[in-house]
Amino acid sequence: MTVAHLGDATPMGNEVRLALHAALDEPDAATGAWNQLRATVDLDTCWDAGILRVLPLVWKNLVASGVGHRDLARLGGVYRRNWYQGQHAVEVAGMTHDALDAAGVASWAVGGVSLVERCYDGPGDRPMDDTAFVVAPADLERATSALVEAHWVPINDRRGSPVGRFATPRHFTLADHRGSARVTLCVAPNPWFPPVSGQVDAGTTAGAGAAEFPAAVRVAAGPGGSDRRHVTTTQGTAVSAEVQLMVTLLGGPTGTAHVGHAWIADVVHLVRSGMVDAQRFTAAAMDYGVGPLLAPGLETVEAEFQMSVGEGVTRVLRRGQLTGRARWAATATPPGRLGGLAIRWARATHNDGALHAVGLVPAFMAEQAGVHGPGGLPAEALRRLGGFGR
Amino acid sequence: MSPDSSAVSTPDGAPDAAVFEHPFGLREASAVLSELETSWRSVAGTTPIHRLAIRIGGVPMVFESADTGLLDRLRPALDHHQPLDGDGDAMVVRIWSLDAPASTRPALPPALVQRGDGSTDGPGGSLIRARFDHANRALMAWDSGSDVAWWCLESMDGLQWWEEAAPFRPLLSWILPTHGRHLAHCAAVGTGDGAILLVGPGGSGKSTTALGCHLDGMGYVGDDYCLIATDTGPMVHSLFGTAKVRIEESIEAGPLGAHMMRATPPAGGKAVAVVSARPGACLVDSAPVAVVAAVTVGADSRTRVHDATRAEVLAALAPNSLQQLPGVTPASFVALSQLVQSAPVCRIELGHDRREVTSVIRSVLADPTMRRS
Repeated sequence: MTVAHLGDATPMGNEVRLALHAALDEPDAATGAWNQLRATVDLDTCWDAGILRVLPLVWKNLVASGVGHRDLARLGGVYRRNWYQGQHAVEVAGMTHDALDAAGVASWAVGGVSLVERCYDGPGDRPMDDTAFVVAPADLERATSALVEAHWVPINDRRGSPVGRFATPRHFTLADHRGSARVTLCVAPNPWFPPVSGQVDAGTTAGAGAAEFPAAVRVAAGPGGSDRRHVTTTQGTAVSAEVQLMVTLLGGPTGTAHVGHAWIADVVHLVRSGMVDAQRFTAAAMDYGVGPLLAPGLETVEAEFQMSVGEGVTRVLRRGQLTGRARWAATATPPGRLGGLAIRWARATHNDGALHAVGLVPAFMAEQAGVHGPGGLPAEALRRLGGFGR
Repeated sequence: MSPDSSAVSTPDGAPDAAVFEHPFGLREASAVLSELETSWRSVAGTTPIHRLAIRIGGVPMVFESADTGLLDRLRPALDHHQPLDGDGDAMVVRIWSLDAPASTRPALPPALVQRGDGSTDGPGGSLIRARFDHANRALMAWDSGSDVAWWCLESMDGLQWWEEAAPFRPLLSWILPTHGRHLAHCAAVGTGDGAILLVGPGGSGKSTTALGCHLDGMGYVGDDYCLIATDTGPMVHSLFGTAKVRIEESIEAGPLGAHMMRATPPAGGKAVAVVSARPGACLVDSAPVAVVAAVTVGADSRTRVHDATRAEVLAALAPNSLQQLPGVTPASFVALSQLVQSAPVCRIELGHDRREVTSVIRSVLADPTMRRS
């Protein structure tokens, strides 16, 4: 499978591919890729999230190449803005962690903050839209109250809705008045995964199943609790890079309408970091029963960027069995009126859009995994996904 | 040097790596310093040196000028600072213009002109920074291992109005953080016992509010840029004794009319008042930060105070503070973050009634932790 094949199944064309190479290759090759891209792409009219989200990395490559490129000033501005937003996200993570800690709630930052901490050079390199924390289900309401006490405002509380009254919330998003920051509290880092149990701290391993919380980072307080400059990994997350790769390979393609193909940059950074152990990665994928769904994306990235998680890893992933939960998510919801009801139910119960709640995967991933649902993806899901599937 | 650095542990007194300055060759950077020194000598050898020796935020600084006209135009904004007794540990900033007859023109590296700035690691672990300010056509440089910084203006005619209102910001944003003082885009009023920081983007009402409060008798720290420090609790220090304001909007010109830098504001610019020159003006040099308020212009005459998250107050403070200045470092962001996390915060919707604004500001200062709507 190649990126071109991926492009057939998802709206990624050669321009996004060139942007990724401009962001991820060595500086000289990257500059060449960027020049090719700029021959056909006008940045003033470019709205592809996959291109826009890797521009900070492109700027770093152009600077490193030492050539006085005409786009340096413009991309420098992009980087500068991104750097500020990244710093802000890290600081908000620190404030949130403190508020939850003061309320006696154990929490773990996930998503962009953890990725940046783990495998990027700094918070300016990767856009971060919000700050997400995982808490144990029993702590979710208390954690939300702690943030409300700090003047955050819940923006997706559907507990009062007719359907929501019968559902257990898994996820709250809170925002400030200016809309400058959002904090998400959830009980699992991905709808594919079961909620974390009460035992989510140190000592977790790939084989710990539901007790494990992957990819956790916490914001460490320095001397006197005043230094929040360093986001450090939680104790007991020896496998977190592997599980984080798993989350990225599942969540990236699923959320393509939002981040474009920038998830590929995350995968490349994770693999290049050398923190991913092939055995632990495959073991985690087998435990969660999602191996066949990981293989297509990983094969694509490995081939395109000449790297490998490990010999034969994708072959093992393809041979793995899907769990019932993963199979259900991959087959999507039934079509027609029933599907619409299912999506509404999912929104109500998960305080989120259908995309996250149902855990839809692009059709190409389902096909690669050999999963064929009853009638394929519902029309609304296809619309939300921006043209996925065939 | 990497264009980014997320490692921000900074030894005391050492400059942190700049995030956005372009990499610079050591030879190129050394040449800029050498050219500036040569140019300075050409002027200083033939002209009397004028001095302004002051403490800015407690940091001893001496501005030496070989051009009295230049110093006269820039000193009003700094004249309110405490005079310095001795020059012992002072940082020296040498300023001159090439209008001086004997001056030699420093050569400008094309890359510096094109990119605007550059920085490189100097010998002994220092950081050499250079910047060409296209608006003022001023070349400046500093080797952090040295106690001398350079600021050379091509011509007095090119000096912009905002430089007179708030001079040397790039240089100060290089030098002062090494002393634990960070430039912050905010206004501040209060007393020596406690000040309120007013933060927000341009047009949010910071300057108008600060000046209005000042005219109503409150102590004035600054209207646009202040210095903040967090090493011994959150503190704000005055930086410039000026105020930029559109007089026609809400502040009556009367009390300030005699203290304007120019008779008429430049086209598209604001009038600059030398607040410190007002007879009886109460300027506050330093104060603990009692509260940080994100301000916005409201829709009616009422002024309302609301609770706010620290995240939104940081978002109101940090972007302009960091994006308008060169040489920003992760440590700059951390200082701003520590500030909003170590003081009460709120959000103020500014009404059109100036007297009520002052009254509300006073009440917030009197009870910074009061719960609000």
